[in-house]
Amino acid sequence: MGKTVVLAYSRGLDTSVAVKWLAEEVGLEDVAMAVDVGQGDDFSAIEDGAFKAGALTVEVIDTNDEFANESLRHGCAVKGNHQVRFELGARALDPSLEVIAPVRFWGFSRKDSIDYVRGSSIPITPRKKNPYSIDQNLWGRAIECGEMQGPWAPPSSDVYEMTIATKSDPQELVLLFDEGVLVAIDGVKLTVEAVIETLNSQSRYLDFIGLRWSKITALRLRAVKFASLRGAGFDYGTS
Amino acid sequence: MRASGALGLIMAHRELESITLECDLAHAKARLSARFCELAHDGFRFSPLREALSEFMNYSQRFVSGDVRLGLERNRVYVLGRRYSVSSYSVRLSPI
Repeated sequence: MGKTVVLAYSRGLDTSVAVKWLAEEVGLEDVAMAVDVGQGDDFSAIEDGAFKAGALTVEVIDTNDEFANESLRHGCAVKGNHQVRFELGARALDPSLEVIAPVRFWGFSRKDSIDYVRGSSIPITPRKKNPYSIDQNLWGRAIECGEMQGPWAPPSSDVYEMTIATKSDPQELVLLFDEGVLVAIDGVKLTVEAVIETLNSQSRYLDFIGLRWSKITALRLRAVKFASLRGAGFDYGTS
Repeated sequence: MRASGALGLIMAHRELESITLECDLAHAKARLSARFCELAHDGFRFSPLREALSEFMNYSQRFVSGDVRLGLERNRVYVLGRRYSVSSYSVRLSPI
């Protein structure tokens, strides 16, 4: 009997490969663990997938209550940071635990991973139609990959699930910055003053932010509270 | 008087910073921006701290060069994309 490893398992490609890989290449006995944080996954499918991938035991832990009450607004975080949280958390709870992060060193590309599980009964959802990597839980949804890797490309409308996109036909405006200073709009070079004048005065820009006008109650330095209507920092009341 | 231009400008600039500023610098700048605004608001325009923070802000902008593509609609503005001259973002290094 080898040592036992608890694998944070999602039924995605990486963790499916990890079940098989940890058993075959490292000689560990796999316990697949999935945590319900409101991501809306099908946990019976997860359980089924983990067994098919070769896990000896599967644990699904429902933490929705705790997540709602104690996590406050944490929501989904950037993936690269999760590894640090997982490791520090595990080490804080029990420093004797060994942390194994196979994705860091197994050197598989996505294609290698698919090849590795080909022919086995491991269920893999093809990514062609859905190129996105999605983190979802009770508090929110984070979407990565696909064409969004290119910072210039807008996301396509099919990435959304928690929200319904309103019909949109935006006018596009390209702002060119040089060392932090806006120097051109749509390829036309302008002074900063002209840029602001342009943005402020052209009717097509006027409504472009819902926050343009806001009713605020300001706390004045001399402790007088004062209600006014403001557009981006300007007073419209009389003081 | 209207100032919607300033808000659009701030949003676009922040987006460009998101791909051009190194992580620690971006976070520190956000905190110091709040301090800068306090000083300006409270009348400390000519304080040594305000002057030093201005130098910091200017220095932080060395690599903030590039295009920001805004989508404009009635009552809404959003960023469709950013393109940089110098960036700390690498498509090659982002997840598959």
